[in-house]
Amino acid sequence: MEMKPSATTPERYPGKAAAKRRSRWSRRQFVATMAAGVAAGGLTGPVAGVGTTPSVHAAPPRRKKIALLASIVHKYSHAQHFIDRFLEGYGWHGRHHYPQVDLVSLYVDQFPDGDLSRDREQRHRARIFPSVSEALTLGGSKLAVDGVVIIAEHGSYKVNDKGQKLYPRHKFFKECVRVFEDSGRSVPVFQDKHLSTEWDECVEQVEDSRRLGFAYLAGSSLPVTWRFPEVEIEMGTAMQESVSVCYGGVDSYDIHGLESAQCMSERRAGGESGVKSVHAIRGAEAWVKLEQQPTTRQLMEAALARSHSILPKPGYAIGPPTFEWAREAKHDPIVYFVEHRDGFRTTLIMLHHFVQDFNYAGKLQDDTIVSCQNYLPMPPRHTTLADFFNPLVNNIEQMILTGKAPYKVERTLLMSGVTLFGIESLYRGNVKLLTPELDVAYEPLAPSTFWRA
Amino acid sequence: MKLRPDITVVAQSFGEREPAEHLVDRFLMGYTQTGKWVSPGDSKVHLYVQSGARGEAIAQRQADFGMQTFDSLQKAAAGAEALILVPDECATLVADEFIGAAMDVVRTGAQVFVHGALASSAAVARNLVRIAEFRKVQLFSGSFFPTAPRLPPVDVPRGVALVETVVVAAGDPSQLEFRALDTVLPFLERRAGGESGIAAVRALAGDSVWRAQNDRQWSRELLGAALSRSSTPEGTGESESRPHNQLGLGEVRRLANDPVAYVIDHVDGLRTTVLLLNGVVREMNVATRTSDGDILSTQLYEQPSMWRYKPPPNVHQWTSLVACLDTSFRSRALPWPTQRGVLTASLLETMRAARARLQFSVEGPGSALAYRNASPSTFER
Repeated sequence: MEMKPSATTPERYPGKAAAKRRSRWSRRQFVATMAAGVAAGGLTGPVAGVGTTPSVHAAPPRRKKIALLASIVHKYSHAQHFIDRFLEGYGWHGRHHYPQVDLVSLYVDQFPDGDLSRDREQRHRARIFPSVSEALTLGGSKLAVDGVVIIAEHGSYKVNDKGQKLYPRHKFFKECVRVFEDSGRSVPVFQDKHLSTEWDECVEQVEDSRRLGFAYLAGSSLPVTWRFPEVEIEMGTAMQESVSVCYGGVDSYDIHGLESAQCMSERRAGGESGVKSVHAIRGAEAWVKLEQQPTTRQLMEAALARSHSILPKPGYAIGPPTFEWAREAKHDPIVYFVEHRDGFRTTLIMLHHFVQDFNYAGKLQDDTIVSCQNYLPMPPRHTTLADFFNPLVNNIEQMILTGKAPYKVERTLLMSGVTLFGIESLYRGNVKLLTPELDVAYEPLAPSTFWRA
Repeated sequence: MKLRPDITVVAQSFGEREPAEHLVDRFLMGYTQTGKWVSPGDSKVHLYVQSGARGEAIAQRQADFGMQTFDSLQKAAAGAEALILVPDECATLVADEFIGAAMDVVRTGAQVFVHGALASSAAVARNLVRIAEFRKVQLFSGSFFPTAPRLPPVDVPRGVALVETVVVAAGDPSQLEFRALDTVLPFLERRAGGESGIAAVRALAGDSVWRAQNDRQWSRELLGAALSRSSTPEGTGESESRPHNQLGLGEVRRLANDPVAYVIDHVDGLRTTVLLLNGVVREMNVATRTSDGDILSTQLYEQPSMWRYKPPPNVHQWTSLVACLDTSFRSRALPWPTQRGVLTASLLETMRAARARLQFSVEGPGSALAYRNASPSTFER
């Protein structure tokens, strides 16, 4: 299917931030400054050589440098998984792959007992800086790296009344933007999980990336991990509904389950149209609503049939992948019912303790059901390594090398919004919320990006 | 789908979350296949357990699903249309006796699956095959490895010539050789000419394993390819969850607990090296090089690979096996040749002999145990 230009514009995510944003830099000003920087020989990136005659004895291309901003670095923290893959490599396509970018600087927000960042600093050349800006400038006055990775997940942060942990994702991002603006150039940015805890901040971040013209990739590892089986939605396929059945809780694994579904759903005919409403329900009431939606229930069972971890019947080694058994065994489900603007539906069903994996089922217009498990081999129960980060790190590496995001940040923007409104819906007592803010329409890039041989 | 015959499971024990329970529960309750729940329909499940333990668990299955039990192995095996034998041990004389007792009474035309190795030696295996042929019994054996998902889901393209293969084996030390063979033979038998038989086996232990690699008797590159597929490296992999280059940094040699290598020379010139590397990783990984120089590598999905924790429920690889067995029982078509089990038994015997004479080459069964597998791949996709 031929790709259409993205229909998304900043005006299509109306939020309070749109009015209050006070940017110091427009895209035009920023581009002008970039050009001046090139003319002055002030850039250290690959752009610096543009227009010059190559030397006969040209030096090998300079390896790109990246900075990683972490909330905390301990065993099994997200930042540890990313840092170690950038520093030590990882298994990829049948060999140990060493990234073609150098992680040269770190900013770490918290150093509790068990911190591993200082160990990594000693064993590698990744220096820890006392601030985000210094990590990006390597202690100088201008941006000195070619990419930034923001991993603000885990750590000791305040939790608000809605149950959201107030990670410094937006703060880290805005400090990067400030350095970009001060330096007159920007570099690709990856940000782990949902963009922020406030919708306006999420929108602002995506707008910043557009305004300053840098590649922005974000989100979960689930869309790019292995799939059991290797299925993909063909671009432009007419679809009715997607269901994701997973474990975990609110403001943590909901984004993973939502992105597991959205990486499939966004490939449907017409692309993503945006989200009209979000209705999150915790508890027995969710079973009632699921019963009223036969297609959703059918897809729930199809997704469960891909699970490797259904709670067994007492005394048995297994349990059946049925609605009835889930309802009988689990008394506190959390379900996000999502209506898209084009009539498409997404349902996220979190059944913590009933399953311990991420499973997807989608119904096409011709009633065909496509289903798979997005494989999350989580240490320490199943593995020693969190290998599902391998493809995510590889996608980040590709983005930094090419300057282009391998998939659109709009996926994560929209699913961040669904996560935030889902949490709000629960907070207000399982009420349905209309979401004119989530007017995020986009066409995904055609290439499929999940992990294959 | 054709009707499934009644299933009879004859097991030496019925431990919680052990093989017989995994098999019985799926045949009783149902299992998932290609994203759908396959229910047993009117098919019954019969059980005979030699040890007599876990009476309550068996009674629960009788009450819930009408499972029928037998009070003797002979009665259970003699009446079975589709018989699954589950010995406690793998490739031992005790297991031989148990399997032999069932095969002595199995009825004409039955299908028999032996969980684990068919036998502890080539002679015993051949005798079982003779009995099976005499009674027109379809006999096959193995574990979940030939049916388990692979990461990535790759197979040797049928008819491609292979030059060298390395399989990294980890797990229960008493079954490591069997696990390795049941992992690697499904790949090898697809190569050009099929399985040609075994010319010789040489066992190496300790430092000689690594000296042999330095002497290029087995491929370091293939070991690296196999390890690159692992999700369970030990050492700093476990202590820090750090995905470093185990092989390149010399950690493999340091971590391996009593490493053993079996260098297996096939009649057609293919060399397969079985590396027993407990302490390095915790699952099975395999890498093979084709005559074109391409390397194919994959991990055999085995949940859980962290066996130091209490086994969780489900353990999906059993679902893959049951789906394969069920399809076979319904269709009366063997998923893989009986000869795979015979070759496995013979190789296990030869490997034992080689282990007793470290460094020396022990003659294999030669082309007498050559076979071809024309069936489609059985691993779950």
